[in-house]
Amino acid sequence: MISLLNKANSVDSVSLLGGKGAALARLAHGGFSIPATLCLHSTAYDDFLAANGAREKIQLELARKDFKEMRWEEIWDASLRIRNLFLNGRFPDQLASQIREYVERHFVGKAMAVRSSAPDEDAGHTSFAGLHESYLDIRGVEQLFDHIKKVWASLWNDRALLYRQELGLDARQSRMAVVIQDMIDSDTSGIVFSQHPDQPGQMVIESVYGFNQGLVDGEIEPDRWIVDRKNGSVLSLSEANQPRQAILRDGHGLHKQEVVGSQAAKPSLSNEELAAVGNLALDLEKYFGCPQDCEWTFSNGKLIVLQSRPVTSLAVGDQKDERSWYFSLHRSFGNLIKLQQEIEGTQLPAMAEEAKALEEIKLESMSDLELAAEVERRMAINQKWVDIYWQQFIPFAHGMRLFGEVYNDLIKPDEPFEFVSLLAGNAMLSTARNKLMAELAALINEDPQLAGQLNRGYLSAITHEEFLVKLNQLKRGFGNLFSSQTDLVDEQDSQKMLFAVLGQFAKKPMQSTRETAAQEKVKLFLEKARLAQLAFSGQEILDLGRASYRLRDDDNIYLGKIEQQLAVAVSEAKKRLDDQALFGKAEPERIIKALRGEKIDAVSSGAAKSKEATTLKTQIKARQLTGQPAARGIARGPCRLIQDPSDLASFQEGEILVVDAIDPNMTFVAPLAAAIVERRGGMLIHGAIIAREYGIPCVTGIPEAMTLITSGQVITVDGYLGIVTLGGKGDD
Amino acid sequence: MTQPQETEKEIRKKISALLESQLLAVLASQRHGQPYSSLIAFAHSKDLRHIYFVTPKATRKFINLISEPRVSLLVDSRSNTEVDFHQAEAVTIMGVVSEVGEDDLAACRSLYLTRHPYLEEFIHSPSTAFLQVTVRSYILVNNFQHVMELHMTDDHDIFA
Repeated sequence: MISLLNKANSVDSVSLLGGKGAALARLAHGGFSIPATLCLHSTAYDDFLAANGAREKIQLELARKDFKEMRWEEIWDASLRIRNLFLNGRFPDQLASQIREYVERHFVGKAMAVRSSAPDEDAGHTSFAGLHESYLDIRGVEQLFDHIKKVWASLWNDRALLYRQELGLDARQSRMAVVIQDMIDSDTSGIVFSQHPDQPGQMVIESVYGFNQGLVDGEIEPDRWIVDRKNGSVLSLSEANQPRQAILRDGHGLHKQEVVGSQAAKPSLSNEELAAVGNLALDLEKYFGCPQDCEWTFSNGKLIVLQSRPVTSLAVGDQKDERSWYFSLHRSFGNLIKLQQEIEGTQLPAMAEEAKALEEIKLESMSDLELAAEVERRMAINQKWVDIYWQQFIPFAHGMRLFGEVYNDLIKPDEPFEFVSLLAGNAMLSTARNKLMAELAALINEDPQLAGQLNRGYLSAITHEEFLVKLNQLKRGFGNLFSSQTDLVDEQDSQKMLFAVLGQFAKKPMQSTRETAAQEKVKLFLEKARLAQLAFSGQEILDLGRASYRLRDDDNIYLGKIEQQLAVAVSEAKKRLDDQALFGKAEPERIIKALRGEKIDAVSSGAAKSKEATTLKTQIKARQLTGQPAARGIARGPCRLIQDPSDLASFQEGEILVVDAIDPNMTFVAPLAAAIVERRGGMLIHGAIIAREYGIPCVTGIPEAMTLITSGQVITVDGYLGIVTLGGKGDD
Repeated sequence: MTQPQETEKEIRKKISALLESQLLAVLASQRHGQPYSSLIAFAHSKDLRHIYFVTPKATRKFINLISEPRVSLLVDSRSNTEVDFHQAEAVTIMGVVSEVGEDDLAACRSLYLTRHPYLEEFIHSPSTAFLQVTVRSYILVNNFQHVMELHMTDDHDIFA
């Protein structure tokens, strides 16, 4: 189940050793110098799975929902659960002692590199290198065990799952071998293409001082030679502008730093070394029978092959489909910190200022043409912020995922989403708004006169000062709670709706959000992080995760205010257009045309859409629907479907909220709800976040939620298992 | 909102495919409130309205059915390996048993024999009864916990 790759060992089966392992075995067998290398066969993966009953658990996780219906976030959630399955798994005794024996014989006191070696990783003409994980500077057998598990788990990481078809990933039979290598000292490292992908007569050599990791992951700029294949003459050399190098800091992983002194003044390879690399590439090409893409290193003057594979076109990252955008969501700690500064320091204040400036504009005094221009301008402003939202805010949400991975690595919790409880407790705008609403409700409860005035609709008669101050605070801070972008609910109606909701708040004792993150868990995490000596402190990654979590909620509230200002302008325009039937639900584009007196089509697509929402009359009935268990707990009660923000006004205390996609502008009914069910899936989406804040059960990712569940129906929400059961106690 | 939705046609197709794939079903009958289950060889009508099976008249299940014709059947695609947990489907069938009348007998027997040609002698024996379950509803379970119901009448109460 494990073999040492050397000249004498002729095992080179790809299904056993994986692509990388098999290529290394062939190199060793051919007499090329490679670092001391062990390969853990793919059968060891099978053994581990069998010992932990994990194969069916993975299949259950992946069969939860049709892949086509899974959003990227749900794929990430699934892969996190699978990763946790591996982290908490136990090595079968025989396998563990075998690994221990080999490591003690060949790697004692040495830093190891632990690399994935999937059978399909480098197959064919496309390369999926980099999809799975590799780890550097691993020391000791216990660390090795942990990292073997992580490499195995990476067979099912979100990136691999996105490319499952191309990879032929199949939970029934996919397996992963693991390559364990001595991280030998590297003076200079690099890559060589024995044949330039575009110029068949040329060879490409890239080189950096130190380890080649920085070069391979694109963070360190190399010196680059183009060499004539026939005679080895240098056709061109472009030197790195600011040479940097990756060096190993004992037990602290790789560290990147500037190259200084005499080394900085000259290229990283001498002419002799360059020729040696060129010759090696040609030898490899001859041995393997096709042009090679090889990673090499000079260690104490000796040229060593780290890996070699056929020159391929890169499959990942250069595609036009949206998967490459998902890939861009994986950000490093440093990148996320920069993003946080940009968002909190620049974008959010600018957004608030812009919304305020728009609010102050007097639309009533504009001419029709001026108003048309203003609607157009607001559409552009809204679009600008929507773009920024996608470019910066959404990627920043990866901060909590990064924290989650670090937390799970260090703590290995039974529940893979335990980390979310450490993120909560920060002041989120939505919970601040809900608190304000609860305080208003409390004032109504305390003062029968105020309650009476509200009930009878004598709003102008209200003199309760504290109530008016808080009401004003709510309006100023959060705008009109019941408007959507194209459908503005007027001020008076909105106020009535608000009082209806406050009436529901008043029925319920004031509910506080959960305790700020369990202090014990925070303490344990910080302690473990300190011992693990990560590249960042535990507090730093926790702060990043918390900022990311808070912003995921807050950014929508800011964006909501901009959208509302567009809605205000559209609403003013609608008032001026006579035909409500024609313009009632029309998009801003049509409104602009109408204001300008241009001809428009008779049927608005907005009107057409509303017809689709008719419910199907059929003899089929859903009894039990499955989704993701996004917040624990169980609740039963009548449900209310929210088709439009104005439906929120009729929400009754104790009902179950069923929505297509909840956004934070809608979550003010969460404190009233017994549970939340959401069509859109994910463990870290708004519905899940707010449900965890209030400690109510939540199930997300039920594709049929809005079509198979009907308002008023009694449903049971099982937030432990992610199941929604339709029908009451006994049956219907 | 254009999320996919299982239509009645799709559910019917899934149930038909499951019935088609299996030769045997578990039949639950009862006596004095005591449930009793038996394995039976079944066939079904294309419109899913009826399930047919044959039983010797001297059996406990036949006697049970005479006094309480309401039954439940279970048909499933388990392979008795762990993949069942994400792969197997099961359908619970609720209905009422009666003997097939003379008019329909020939057609029903021929349908049944297409599924179970080896039972020719058995079904023609004077000691057996050729029975039909008139289905009230199907409850289809797949993906571990996804449950959909197909009702053949307007009364959707499973336990009526």
